[in-house]
Order: sequence, then structure tokens, then C-alpha cells
Amino acid sequence: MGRALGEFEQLILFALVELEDEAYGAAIGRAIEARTGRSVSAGAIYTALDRLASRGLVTSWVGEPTGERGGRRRKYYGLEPAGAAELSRSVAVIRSMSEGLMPKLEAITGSEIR
Amino acid sequence: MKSPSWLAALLLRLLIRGEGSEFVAGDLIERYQRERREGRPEARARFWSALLASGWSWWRPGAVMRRMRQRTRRGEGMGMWVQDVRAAGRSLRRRPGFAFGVALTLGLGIGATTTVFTVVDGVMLRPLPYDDPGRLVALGTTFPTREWADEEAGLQHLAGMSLLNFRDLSERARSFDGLAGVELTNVLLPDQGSGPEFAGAARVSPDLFHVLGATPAIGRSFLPDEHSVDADAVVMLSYGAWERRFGGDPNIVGVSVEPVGQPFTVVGVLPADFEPPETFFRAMPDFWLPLQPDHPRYANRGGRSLALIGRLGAGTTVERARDEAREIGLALAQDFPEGNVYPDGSHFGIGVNGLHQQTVGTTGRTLGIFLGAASLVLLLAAMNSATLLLARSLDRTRELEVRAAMGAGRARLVRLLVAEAAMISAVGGVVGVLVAYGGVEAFLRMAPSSLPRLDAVAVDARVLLVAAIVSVGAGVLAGLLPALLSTRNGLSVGPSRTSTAPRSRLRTLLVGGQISVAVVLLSGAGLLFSSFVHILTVDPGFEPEGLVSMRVALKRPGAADEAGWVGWDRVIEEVSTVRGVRAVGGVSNPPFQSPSWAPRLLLPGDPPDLWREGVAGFAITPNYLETIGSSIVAGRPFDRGDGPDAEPVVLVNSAFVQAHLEGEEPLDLVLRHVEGGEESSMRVVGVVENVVQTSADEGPRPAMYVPHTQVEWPFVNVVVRSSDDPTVLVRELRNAVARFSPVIPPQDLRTMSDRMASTRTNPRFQAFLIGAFASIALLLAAAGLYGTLAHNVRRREREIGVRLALGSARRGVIEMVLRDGLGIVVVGLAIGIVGALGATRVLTDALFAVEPNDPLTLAGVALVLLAVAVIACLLPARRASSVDPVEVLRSE
Repeated sequence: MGRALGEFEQLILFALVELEDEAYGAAIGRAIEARTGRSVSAGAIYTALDRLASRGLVTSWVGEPTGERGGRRRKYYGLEPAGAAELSRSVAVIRSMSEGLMPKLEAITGSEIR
Repeated sequence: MKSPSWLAALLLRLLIRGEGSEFVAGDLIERYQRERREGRPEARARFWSALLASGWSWWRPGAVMRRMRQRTRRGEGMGMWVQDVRAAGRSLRRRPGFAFGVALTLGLGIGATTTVFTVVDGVMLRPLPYDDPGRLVALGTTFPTREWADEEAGLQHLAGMSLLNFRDLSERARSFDGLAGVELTNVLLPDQGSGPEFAGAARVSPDLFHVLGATPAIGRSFLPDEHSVDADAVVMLSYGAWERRFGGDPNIVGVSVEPVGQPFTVVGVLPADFEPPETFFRAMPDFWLPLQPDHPRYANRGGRSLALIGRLGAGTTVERARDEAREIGLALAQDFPEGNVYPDGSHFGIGVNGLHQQTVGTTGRTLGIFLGAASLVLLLAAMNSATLLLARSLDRTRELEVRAAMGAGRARLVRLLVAEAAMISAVGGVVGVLVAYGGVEAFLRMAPSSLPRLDAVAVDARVLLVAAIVSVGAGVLAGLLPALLSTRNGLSVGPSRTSTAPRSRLRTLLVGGQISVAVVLLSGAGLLFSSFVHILTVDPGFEPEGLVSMRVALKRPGAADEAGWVGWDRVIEEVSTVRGVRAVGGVSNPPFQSPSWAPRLLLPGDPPDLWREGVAGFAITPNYLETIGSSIVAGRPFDRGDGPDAEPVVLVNSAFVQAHLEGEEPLDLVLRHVEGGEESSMRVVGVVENVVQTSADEGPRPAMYVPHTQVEWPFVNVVVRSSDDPTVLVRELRNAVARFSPVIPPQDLRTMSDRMASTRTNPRFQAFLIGAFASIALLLAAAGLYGTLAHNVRRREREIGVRLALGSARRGVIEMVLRDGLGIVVVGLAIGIVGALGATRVLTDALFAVEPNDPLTLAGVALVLLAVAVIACLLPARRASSVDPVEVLRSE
């Protein structure tokens, strides 16, 4: 087992969960932006995906060229079982650590955490 | 559309690199397309920021360095180059003098080329400052005998057009989106402390600003009905005049401007960046007035005062517009012969030139010569650098052998040597750009004002790009050949040294080549110089020193009905009272000003429809010829007796006698003069020496002189001879004219020497520029010759020492080196002369009184070159003869 997943890596892996077979750079960026309102650069997504691929957490395959992209191909990514396991482990870590502490945190920040 | 723009497509390719670049680029485009479809306005901005961010992550210095280190470790690609460049840098640092010398040489060549390219770029290549300038054309009247200014280049010779022809042309022509006419004039501003002043003005037809795409900065342009003598007088100001004369008053519209005699109401101010076409406007007029077609001065088709500018319709070409204009010209000549047809039946036509072509005219040819000469300097500099690099590679044979022995392949060695040359030429490029900055500055300062568009000349990114390309090209050229030859036969270690013969041969060839190129440049410079000397030494036919002239208008208050000649006499009377004035005369046009009268003359026995062309007419006062120091060859000058009621008389010059009288006795001959259909007779009373008319290089031209009392002339050029300081005199002359007319100041007040000098700026500039190039060339060629011989002597010191030890005479050693050197020189000279015979033909138009293949000049060039070459050879020869055999043999 490698080091723990970073926050951005978690976002990407969740995007892969959501997009299933349709996960490629622009779609991943869109998914993250839609859910978090955060705009992320293509370069950052690919860098993170490369890193995840080298750890065996994701896999990739190349699609057909499309006119919409000026004849360029898409590179799709998919979640490996190891990736899914790693993601659920890191979510579980957060969940078990935050168990019962949310009301207290909300009291400190003074606002509701959704 | 795939990318937002071609630039984006290009940057996508350039900036986004590395593995997966295709996917990143694709994502960027996809997102942009989607957002655009969704109608999100920030799509473009987001695309660009994402593109730049992705590019930065690949290209930021840290990432680049990391990749390079990785590659160097793997021993491939750029990494090797980095090593080569480092090695080259180390090797150059060991011989900084050498590196700097070569860089300087290349820098001179690059600088010369860049300077001239900057000028060519500004004058020839940059578009004119108007919307869609390619569709703008100049139109004008063509003369039956002189339709083309440059037929080869398709440039017509255009004169002004009468308003009536302009109007009919506008109605009939279909090729144009707009046609506009301009007439230059000036307005007289009243005395505001520093005396009355003329200000430039232009009368323009309704379409002018539309055709040029100029909208007023303030207010409006003219309304259609303001183009009439019956309308209220209105004026537009140039931006400069608005700032200068009216302090940039924002409420200028409606203000009344009052030049002498006619008040105008300001309706608008032209934009600050508006430039009227340079071909018609020497300077920006301050005041812009509506052209009034109903003014009586335009009633004559022979009065060609309008310059025409048109905008071609979409899809029309200059050629098609020209064909149409030619047809309309023919039709107008048939419909309105008066003023459009000569007595001999030939007729005026209408011509069209592209506005850019009209503006630059035949300047392109001159600039082409400059560019050619600069390129030769660059070629010579590259050859010179190559000889230096070759010499160095000879010295480094051992080093290269060692490198080869350590396992460097040929490609690697060539790369090392080329990297060295490239580094040197990069420094040379920097030197060259510095030289170009200075060079352009000097060029602009010295260039004759007849060169168009000089305000568009500046060193900028385009120019720097060209300089960079030229530098790299020259560097690789100078480095590659030596590098290939030095590594040719496979380098071997040990006693069997690599052959140096091919390099020595190439070096000889290069030195000879430099001599040849220098000879071509020297020949050009020599020809231009001797042509300039001829112009300087032309006898102008009078004595210009101590003469001052000025133009005085004769309209003055209270003298409306007075005959013109009375005004002449009054002005001259006033001027002759000025202290220090020794003589005063009056003339219609003084020397070095184009004569404005081309009288139509007939000799006894000429058929009435004959047209004797090319005679210039002058009105003069009796003492004019004496004042300027011209002399009478035969007969008598005019005197007081040649008054308005006396017999009409005329003087002709020697050129007239030669061109038109063919041995006939000129005195008492009766000439007939035809003007406006009326014929008058004049008796020749004397023959005058030829006096220069427009410029010294025009050659003798026929002229006739009539007494000022026997013609009407609306102005006079007063010519004064004085030994006083011209600056004091000028002030006094102004005062004298003010006594004659307090309203109208003198114009064009200049010394004759000044007038003369300004007609010589062109040839002087050409001779100077090519002379400068030739001097650089001679210097470089001599340095190349000297360097090569000196290097040879050094390499052969041992051999020479042995020869001397074995009893060779020192004289013999000197002769040996001289033979080597002068052999190259003579062959280079011969080839150069042959080249010059061909190349100098491009100078034909620029030369005066010298043939392009002038043997005297070529012989002079050969002598100069030989003299320099002998010195360049003697120095190393002496060094060879002073070799001490004992020293040399001991050092082995």
C-alpha cells in the first residue's frame, strides 16, 4: 500500500466512479466543476491521473479521433479494483474520524457543513 | 472552426508538448467548443488561460531543465546539444580574441544587411496606413509622349487632372468605389507678431475622407452643399494645427478662423493618426477646405491642378481600372478636344497606379542596389569568418584527432565546430543589431528627402527576426564548410596526420572570393563617386556663390490693376536699397527650380501644328543675367528699351541653338509663340550661355528668355548678389519685401548654394553609402588576405627555417610569400573585374557622365586593391624572412 490519497486525487477517482466508461480529461474536469464549483486545469488532471496510473489505481485506453476536438483522440481512464479499494479506504478513514464530530465543528465555524 | 483562431492552433502545437499533449489539446478545444455552444461569453478567455497554463507547466524553466538533465543522462537529443554548446563555449573562452574578431566581422555584415533591410521594409514592404490600402490607387493625366515613368515596373507617369475631366471620369468610371480629388494651396495668416505667414492648405472633393477611411476626431466633415462658392465658408483643421494654433480647444467647432481676406467657420478636426498620401502631400496641410467645382478657376480642361485618389471596387485590379481609365481618356479627348488634345492631334490620357507603387515610385530600384551591396558585404564577411574558422581548425587538428580517438564520431565533431560558429555568429548578430540601430539612425539623417516613407522606417521585431535568421544562416554557412572539411578523411591518431590540403585549398578560394567581392563593391563605389565628382564639377553656367533668391507674390493692397512688371520693378527697387546688396535681378524661375513655363514655339517655316517640345521659358529683368554671372555669347542682353510697347524680343541659349537651329544664324531670327490659340512673334536679339535649370546632372537644355515687361507673370523670384552674411541679409530682405507688401511675406528664401546642394543629396548619398560598404569590404578582404598569409607563414616557420639554414636567401623567402599572396590577389581581381562588368550595369540610371564599365574607374579600383594587397602580403613576408633558423630548429 502506498501513501494516502490526496484530496485532488480523491476528487478524480470519484469522477471516474461517476463517469464510468466516459471518463476522459475534459469530462473529468467538468464533473469536478459541476459538483464542487472548482475549476481545474487539464494539465493538473493528467498529471494526477499519470500518478494514479503509475500506482496501478487507474487504467487508461485511447479512443477514436473526433471532429469536435480537431481530429484529436481522447484518452479515457477507468477505475482499477485497487483504485476503488483505495478510494473507499480513504473515505472510510475520514468518515470514522469525523464520526460524531460534525456538530462540534459546525459550532466552531458557525455554519452548517453539508 | 476547430480552434478559436489560427494563432491558437499554432500555440496549441508549440506550447503543449510531451506525452499526452494530443489529449490535453483535444480537451481544451472540446471544452471551448462546448462552452461556446452553451453561449458562455467567457469561453474564449477560459480557453486561453487554460492553454497558457498548460504551456507553462511544460515550458517553465524548472521543467525544461529537469527534462534536459534526464536526457543528458540518457545521452540523447537536446542534451547532447547542451554538451556541445558548453564545449564550444569553453573552447571559445580559450581564444576570446579570435571569437570576438570573427563576431565583429560577421556583425559588420549582418549590421549592413539589417540596416538596409530595415529601410527596404519601411519603404517597400509595410502597407500604407489606411484601411484595405491595397485597393487605393492614384489617378492622373498621362502625356502622349510620356505615358510611363517605368514601363517595366508598370508605373505610369501621372500629372494633375482638370476638375472637368475629374468630374466626367467620376461619372463614367465603374471600377471605383470612390474617387476623390485634392488640390494643394495655401492660406495667408495675418501678422500675429512675427509677420504674416503662409500655412499649407488643401481643397478636397466630398469623397476624400471616405476614400481614405478617415473620420473626424471632432465635429464633422464637409456636407455636400458646402462644396460651392455660394455656401458659407467652412474649414477642417488637421489635428496638429488644432493643437498648435488653437491650443487643442475642445469647443473648436463653430470658431471662426480668419486668414487674410476670407473668414472660415471650423466644422471639424481630422484624427491625430490621419496621414494624407505622401505622394501628393509633402507636409500635412493645416487647413482643409471644400473643393468648389463651380469656382471659375476650374472652367478650363487644360488646367491640371487636381491630384486624384481612388478606391478600387471589390474584385477589380489596377490593370482593369487602367484599361477603363485609358478608354475614358480617349473618349474625353474626342468629346472635349479643347485642353485634352495637342495641336498635332496627339491627346492626353488618364492613368492609374496603385497608391503604394505611386508612393515608392522607382525608389525600389535604388533600394535594391543598396540591398545588393549590403548582401555582398555580408557574403564577404561570411567568407572572411570561414577563413578564420578554417585557420583555427588547422591549428586544432591535433585536438580534433584526440577527440576522435576518445570516441567522438564525425557527426559529433561537426556539431561541435558548427556550435562554435553558431555561438560566434549569435554574438555577431547582437553586434549586427547594434550596428543596425546606429546605421538606421545615420541612414535617416543622411537620406535625401526624396526617399519616400522614411517615417515608416524603424528597427522592430520583423527586422530583428530577419537579423536573427541572417545571423544563424551566416554562422552556419561560415562554420559548416570548415567543419566538414576538417573532419573529412577520418581523423587518425599518431604520426600519419590528417590531411590539411583540402582546407588550405578552400582557404585560398575563400580569400580569392573576398577579393572578387570587394572589387565588385569598389567598382560600384568608384563609379558613383566619379559620377558625383562630375556633377560637382559641372559648370552651372553662372556663379552661385553669394547669391540669395526669394519668391515674392505681386498681389498687394491697392495695386489691383497694375501690370505685373510694375510690381517686379517695385520689389527690385526696394530690395536694391538693402545694405550690402551689390546686384538684384528678377526671374520667373531661378536656377535649381523647375521652370514652370513651357512655351510653344514655332520657327520660320514650321508647319502650324508642329510641337517643338522641351524648351523652357523664362521672364527676366534686364540685369538678371549679369546679376547671376551668366554671360552673353552673341548679340545683346535686354535693356530698358525692351519695354511693354517695344518690339517683342527674345534671348535663346546655346542649347536652343544647337537643338533647334541646326547651324542657322540665330540673331534676328523671328520666332512665333502660340498661346491660347493666339500667335505672336519675337525677334532673337542674343544668345546666352546655358544655365542649369533643375539640377546639374540634367545636361544642357534649350531655353528662351523674354523681358519681364513683355509677359504677365503673377510672381517674381528676386535674385540678389551680396558679399554679406546671408543670415543678416535674409532679415533685411524680409523687411524690404514687407515695405513692398505688408501682407504677403517672401517665400522660398534661400541661398543659391543651398538650392544647389539640395539637388545633389541623392548622388552624394548613394556614393557615400556604397562607398562605406566598399570600404568595409576592402578592409575585410585585406584582413582576410593578411590573416591567411600570416597564418601560413607561422605554420611553415619550420620549413622556412630549414630553407634558410640550407642557404636560401631571405629575398627568396619574401618572394615566395608574395608569390603565394599576389597569385590569389590577381586571380580574385580578374574574377572581380568580370563580375563588376556585369554588376555595375544596374547603376546605369544612377550615373552621370560615366559609363557603367568606365575603364578608368575599373583601373583605379584595381590599383587601389593591388596597393592594399601588396601591403597585406608584405607584412607576413617580412615576418617570414626574419625567421631565425637556429631558433626554429632548436625548438623542435
